[in-house]
Amino acid sequence: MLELLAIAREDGWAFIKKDGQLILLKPPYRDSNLVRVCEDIIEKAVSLHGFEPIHESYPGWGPLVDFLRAELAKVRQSKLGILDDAELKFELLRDAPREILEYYLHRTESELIPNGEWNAALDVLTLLMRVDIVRQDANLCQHAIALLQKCNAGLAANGRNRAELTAEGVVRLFPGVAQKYPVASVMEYMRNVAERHQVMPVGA
Amino acid sequence: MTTITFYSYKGGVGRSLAVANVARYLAGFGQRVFAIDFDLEAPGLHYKFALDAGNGAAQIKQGVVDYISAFRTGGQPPDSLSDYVVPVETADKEAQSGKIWLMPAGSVTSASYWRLLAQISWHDLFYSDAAPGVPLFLELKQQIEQQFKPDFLLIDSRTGITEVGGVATTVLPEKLVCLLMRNRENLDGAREVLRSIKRVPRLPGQPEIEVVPVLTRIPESGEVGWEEEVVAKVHEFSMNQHQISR
Repeated sequence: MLELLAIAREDGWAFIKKDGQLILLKPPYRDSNLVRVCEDIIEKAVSLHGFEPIHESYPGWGPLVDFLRAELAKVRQSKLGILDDAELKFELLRDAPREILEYYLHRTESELIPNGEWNAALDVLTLLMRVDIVRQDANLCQHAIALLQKCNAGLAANGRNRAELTAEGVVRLFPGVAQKYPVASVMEYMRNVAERHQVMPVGA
Repeated sequence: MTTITFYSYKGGVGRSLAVANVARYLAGFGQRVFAIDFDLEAPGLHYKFALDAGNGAAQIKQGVVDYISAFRTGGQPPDSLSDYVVPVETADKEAQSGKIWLMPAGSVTSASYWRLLAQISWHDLFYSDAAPGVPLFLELKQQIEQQFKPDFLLIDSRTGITEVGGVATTVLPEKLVCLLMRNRENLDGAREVLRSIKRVPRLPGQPEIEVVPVLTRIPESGEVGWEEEVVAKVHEFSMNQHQISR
């Protein structure tokens, strides 16, 4: 049985008693974040650090962690006005140092964009563009804008190609093929491969 | 340009080595040869051209996987192949007029190669609505012909039954060199693949694929009748193919 003795709802920290031992638990809720503490610390935590005394019992760690997570979410929604995941990410990035912001720009450029993950890249860049440091730093801002333009171009090209891989699409994208073979035959070949789900039609 | 694919149902038959040797042999006759490594999961053709160390390795920055990836992200094939191709040094006698270029699978010592390979969706390329895989590889062949003007395009195909192996064996070649070992596993697998190749329709202007079976790694037993037995095996295999094609 776990006894919850005090909680800091805004950051999810909690004092718990288990088998006579006082334990401090903080997010993320993992074994490595369970710290044994002295009895007298809880008094200071309540009087000086804004912990709220509470007396509730839980049959195990699962229900206790669920409760702490629910409390944390409630506080975020009510006090910080954080309504969704994007808002939470923005809260995290808002006060991040320049190096961290540069790091996210670099990862967007080197991982998301080359892999054609345009929407994920746009999400990150949109968040970054809301951060004051990015908007006020000419280099960061230009970098982010250039990446946004790449994403827009990529999305546009992808949409166009998906929608238009008709005979006209084949002519536009594969001019060498269109010059060498009748486009209708190429389209029929493509359809055959797609229908039989085999490039090499093995088996009876 | 004549396109010859080197295929084997199983590995370890000396397929890549055969591609490299044929390329050098043709270059020795003053021919312009373009070799391409389609064995994307186990690339190794660059080793056979001694491009695995020193300057050679440094030259290989991109290849087939990067070409496909550029199409996936850019929405159209790259205009120029120059970033994806490396020249192969030829011996003095070959250098007089022959040339060899290699389009490797990619920079296989980098993590990004394997990441890009894992991100290729063969389903999207070949089996989704309006899948662009077939014209993409045909366009690559056209680009090779237009930009390098080779006399021969030699393709080192993936073993077994795969999408990229299917492209190499059914979509692109005029000739198919099928390397075989003399055991039932090799012969049955290869026979099934060759049957399928005969069934595949060709585009207008594409000739029927000419299949050349090559028996490899023949143990030299020295026993009486051994040579006749090997010849009979190849003959039997060829006869089966002939019957299939009819």
